[in-house]
Amino acid sequence: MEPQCVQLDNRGLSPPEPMLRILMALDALEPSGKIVAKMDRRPMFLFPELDERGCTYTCDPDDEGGFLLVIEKKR
Amino acid sequence: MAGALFAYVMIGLGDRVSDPVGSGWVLAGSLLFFLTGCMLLAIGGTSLGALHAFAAFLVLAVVAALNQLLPVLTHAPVARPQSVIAVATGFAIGFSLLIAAFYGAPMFGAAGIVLALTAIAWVLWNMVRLWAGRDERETRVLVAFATIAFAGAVGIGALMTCTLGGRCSAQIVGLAPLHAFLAVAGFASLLIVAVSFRFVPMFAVAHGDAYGRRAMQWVAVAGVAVAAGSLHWPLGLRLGLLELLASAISIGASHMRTLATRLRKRVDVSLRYGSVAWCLAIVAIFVALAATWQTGLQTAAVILAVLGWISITILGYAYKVAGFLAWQVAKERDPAAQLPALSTAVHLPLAYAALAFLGAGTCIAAFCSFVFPDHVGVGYGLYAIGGLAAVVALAKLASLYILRRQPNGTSVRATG
Repeated sequence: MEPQCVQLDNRGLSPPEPMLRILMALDALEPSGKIVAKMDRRPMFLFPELDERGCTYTCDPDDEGGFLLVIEKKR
Repeated sequence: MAGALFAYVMIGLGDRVSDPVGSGWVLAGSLLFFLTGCMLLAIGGTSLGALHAFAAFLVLAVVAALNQLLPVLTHAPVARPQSVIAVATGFAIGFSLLIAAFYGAPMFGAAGIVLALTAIAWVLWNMVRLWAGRDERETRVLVAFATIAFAGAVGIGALMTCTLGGRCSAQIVGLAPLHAFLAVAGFASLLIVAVSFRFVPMFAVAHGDAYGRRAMQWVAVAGVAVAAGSLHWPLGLRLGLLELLASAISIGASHMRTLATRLRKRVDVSLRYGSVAWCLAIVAIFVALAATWQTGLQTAAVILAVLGWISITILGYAYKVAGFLAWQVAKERDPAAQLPALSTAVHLPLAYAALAFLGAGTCIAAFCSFVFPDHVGVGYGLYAIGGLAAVVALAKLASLYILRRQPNGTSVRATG
């Protein structure tokens, strides 16, 4: 079975709404699931939270001037 | 030449949006001035030297905070660590000369020149970054007002150093209340209000809906403007202070509503410091209002504002910011590192003991300054103990990440 993948578009939201949406989605995510989020900003304060939850993540600039955040929830 | 200098200072560091090394060093420097202020208060009591050590703490903390926050929040360009460290060094030298001058060294002129030149450079740099940022318009405008107040406070301060150095008219010393009010209410308080709209929901992991359109921040700006323009006209001063009181109560209530919607189970240490500080801010404004009738309360209002509201807020937010900066430095050094969890990294018994001493010291010093002036040192002593404990707790927190031992047992230091 394919791992669950949640797409989030957090563009246009003020901090800390993007972080909240990601953490709420992460709580509901199945183990091994993935979140792909479009962001206006690099969510600096989110990274320690992800680290604490044992997630792996990448956050790279995208073609639209924002960032693409990919989070994988470990088993 | 100017274009090259501008490019050097302003052009971002690749795709980075943060400068943990520069901000971290400047924050550490600000804490050294805080400790100096605590020591001077405990040993010598209320003095302009001690007060300006706290001013140095505040200014350096703000330089560090804005260096970190503006790029993250607004997309303003990230500067090189050398840039913020150069600005902070200018302020550190200027304030050191000024403090030495207040204790008798003939350095007022040099202090005024260094502080004025550094302030001009920082104000211009800050304004360019605020203008270059593309998000968070309300935050940027409020920070711009605070920066203008800072420019006013430093301008008056520089003129006063000329007077104290024997070069200007003695009448300028009469502007001292305006200098202090612009620094405390215009610069520090408006900045704390601005960052708190973002920090409180971020630290609590809560929605920011309770702030609405943040109308009360403009009431605070109006209050600062009205009070600053009426320092020698009691009715206008009272009107300005009433506006500040209304905005402090209203914004405080919004923060309470925000905290009520938090996702974190517990309110963290930064927000507990912030809550105590916000209560002291409301008391400080109330006492300042009372001081328009009873002038003997002016010192109490200054103690509550500087030692209580401003310093406790900065120390509280520093637990989160210093921990995050140290975490980021460790992560940049070794992206695969398994680091201690930030949420449990603060030594809570020490941090809360510090808060108790800081809060009690502030209240006792403020009370004694009006009722038992000979015993004000008791409050300052308690405050100094709390200040030392808070700085030790912050140093322990940062060292947990920066001096972390590698798996092979060697201790490593951050190189940036």
